[in-house]
Amino acid sequence: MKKILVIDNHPVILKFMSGLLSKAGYEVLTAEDGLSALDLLQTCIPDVIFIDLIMPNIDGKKLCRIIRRMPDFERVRLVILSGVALEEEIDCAALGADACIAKRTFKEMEESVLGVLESGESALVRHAGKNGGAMWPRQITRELLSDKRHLEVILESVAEGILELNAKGRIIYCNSTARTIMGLSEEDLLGGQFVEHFAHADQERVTGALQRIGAGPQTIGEDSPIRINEKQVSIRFLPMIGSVFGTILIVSDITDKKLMELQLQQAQKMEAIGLLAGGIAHDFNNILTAIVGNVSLAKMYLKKEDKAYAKLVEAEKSAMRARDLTLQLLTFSRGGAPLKKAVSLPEVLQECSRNILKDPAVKCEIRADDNLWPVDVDEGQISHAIQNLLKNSQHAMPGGGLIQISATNRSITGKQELPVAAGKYVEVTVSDQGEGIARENLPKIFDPYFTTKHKGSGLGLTIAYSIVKNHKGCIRVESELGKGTTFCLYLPAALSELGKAATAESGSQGRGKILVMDDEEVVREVVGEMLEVLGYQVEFAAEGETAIRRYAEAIDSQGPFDAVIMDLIVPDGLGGKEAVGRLLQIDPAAKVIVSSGYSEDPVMSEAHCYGFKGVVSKPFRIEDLDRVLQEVINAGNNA
Amino acid sequence: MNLTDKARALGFDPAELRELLDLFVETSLADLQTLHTALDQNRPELAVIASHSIKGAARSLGFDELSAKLETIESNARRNSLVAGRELLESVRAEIDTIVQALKKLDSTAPA
Repeated sequence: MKKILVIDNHPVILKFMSGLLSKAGYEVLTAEDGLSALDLLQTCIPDVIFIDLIMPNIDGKKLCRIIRRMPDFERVRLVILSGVALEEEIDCAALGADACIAKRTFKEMEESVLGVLESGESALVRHAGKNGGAMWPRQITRELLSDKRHLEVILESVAEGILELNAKGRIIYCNSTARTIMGLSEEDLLGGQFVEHFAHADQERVTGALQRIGAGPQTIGEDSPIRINEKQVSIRFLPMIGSVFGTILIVSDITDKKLMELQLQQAQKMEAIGLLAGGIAHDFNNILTAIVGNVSLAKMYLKKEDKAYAKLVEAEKSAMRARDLTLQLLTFSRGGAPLKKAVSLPEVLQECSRNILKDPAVKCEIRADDNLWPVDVDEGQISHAIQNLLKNSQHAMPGGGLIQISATNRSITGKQELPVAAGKYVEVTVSDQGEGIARENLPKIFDPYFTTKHKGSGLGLTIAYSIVKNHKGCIRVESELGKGTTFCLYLPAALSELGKAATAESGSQGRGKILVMDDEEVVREVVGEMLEVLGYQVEFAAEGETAIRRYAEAIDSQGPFDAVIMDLIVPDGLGGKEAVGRLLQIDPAAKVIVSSGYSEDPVMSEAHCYGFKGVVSKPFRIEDLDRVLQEVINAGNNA
Repeated sequence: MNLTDKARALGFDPAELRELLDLFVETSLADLQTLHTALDQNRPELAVIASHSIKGAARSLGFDELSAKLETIESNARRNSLVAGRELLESVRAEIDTIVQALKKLDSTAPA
């Protein structure tokens, strides 16, 4: 006996069809909506299925498509039985249906239904009665269909995932955004329990919201997102208004929003650290200036053979390391403006490798183009970035191995997928043979505090990234688990000649009168003594106003200053930034050198724009002071 | 209303029609109740669903006038208008009562 399933939401239609088909000798099953039909089809395979198009809980069109994708139902004949067929041409082929019957009076329907069953052919059969127009309200049906289509267009276009659940929490509708967010097809979603798509912890939250829906709309996941298909979502639950119980869900993909919030928090944290570090660095560098200055003076009073001389050299090195540490903190936390000059990279690479790679089991190969372009960088910062990459490579190979460093000229066009402007760059690659970085960790390796090492600070690669970015270059990483990691840095090539090497001639003799303006007495004292040792006459001012007055007085008394060294920031008085302008009004040829512990201050990197002729970063050694004074005084004299 | 003639016109025997009409009356009275709720609470969307339901079955059973009235209610409700609804509802109830009366008459004339 052939088995027939009739799916229709009106009991009179079901009753009529049951009677008709039973009498004709068929076994009849009935279902009142799409969802009940799907349940029934899990346990039986009918020969023919009659499907109404407009039904609650999964409509006829969707049901046809779902059934057609079920392998066991390939041979089942699908017959659409709907009033809609009177109003529009139903595309049976698109729905996977074999025939279509328009609902008219029962007498007419009887003929059509039996006709289709008896013909047994899979051909489109359109059975329309003589008085179709009178039997079915054409206009209303058109309106109904038109409204439905408008709604569908809207639902398919919205950025949120929209789902409808029946009273038992099963999915009976999902729009395309919902399918994208959940990463599943309509066939996989419809009929399934919504809650089962979530991990255990989130299941409780979803179930809780569904249970509370009687009290009104519920929202979960806004603060602590729900996870699904590797996305973070928030879900709004709206109780259905109507005669049936159910829930409409609005699922919002908030992955990007949460990421931005995280980045904002990160930026705020960095800002706070930066402010703190900036304040500490200023005081710290003043203290270091006194230490470094006194040590370098003490060295000059001793012979190199003295036992104490070697100790002072070590003390000076340590003090300079303390300076570097302050600089590093400032560089990454406040994005310190680099003090750029044309630098030859091979020497820098050699130096970095010597400083970092102390483990004999780790070998290092450096290759550079013969005609490698110089790069326009802050040598200290770039060394720091490269050293951090080398440390990372070394840690990736605890048992030893080979680190390959290469430097190659590259002309970048706008078409290449690198976040840098078109132009000439030097590409530096650092490759190791370590264990590599897992794919899921690659996007995070430059994040502050991200580390996979037990002892890692999580700042090394962040600093490298920040430095390279501040140089208008870029850094990228390639890695394969088990094979190793390669970091590629792109640094802008220098347009100017290589910067002259800053070698201080020890014991060089300066001549002239220097005005030192600094609010710290200890700094004034040590700088004064250093200048005297170098052969200069020195006068002092504790802040800008006094310095300007002294300078003007010196001009009037026919004994002008040859140069002025000014502290950039004076907490309770006029600082160097403001004083230099007024000084230049008095004497446009004034040679003013800016000195500051705020090495990341833009004034320090663009000192010439503010009217300064030279820069000396605190703390400085006697040879640093000597060099900058000679450059500034001689440059003026040669002009 | 002569149900015997109607049964003949629809191709049913009287007992079959009887069963269908009983079900129709039962379903339609429930839908009518929903329509009243829709009017009381001013919920056009509920009125659309309920009027659409009675209308379809009425047409299949050949109750064209009843179907036309529900068509008007549905059409108005779709335009968010329930103004003329209450009068029409009375008239729908009257039509259903007529069917109920016809069914009763059938009972009284049926051989014991």
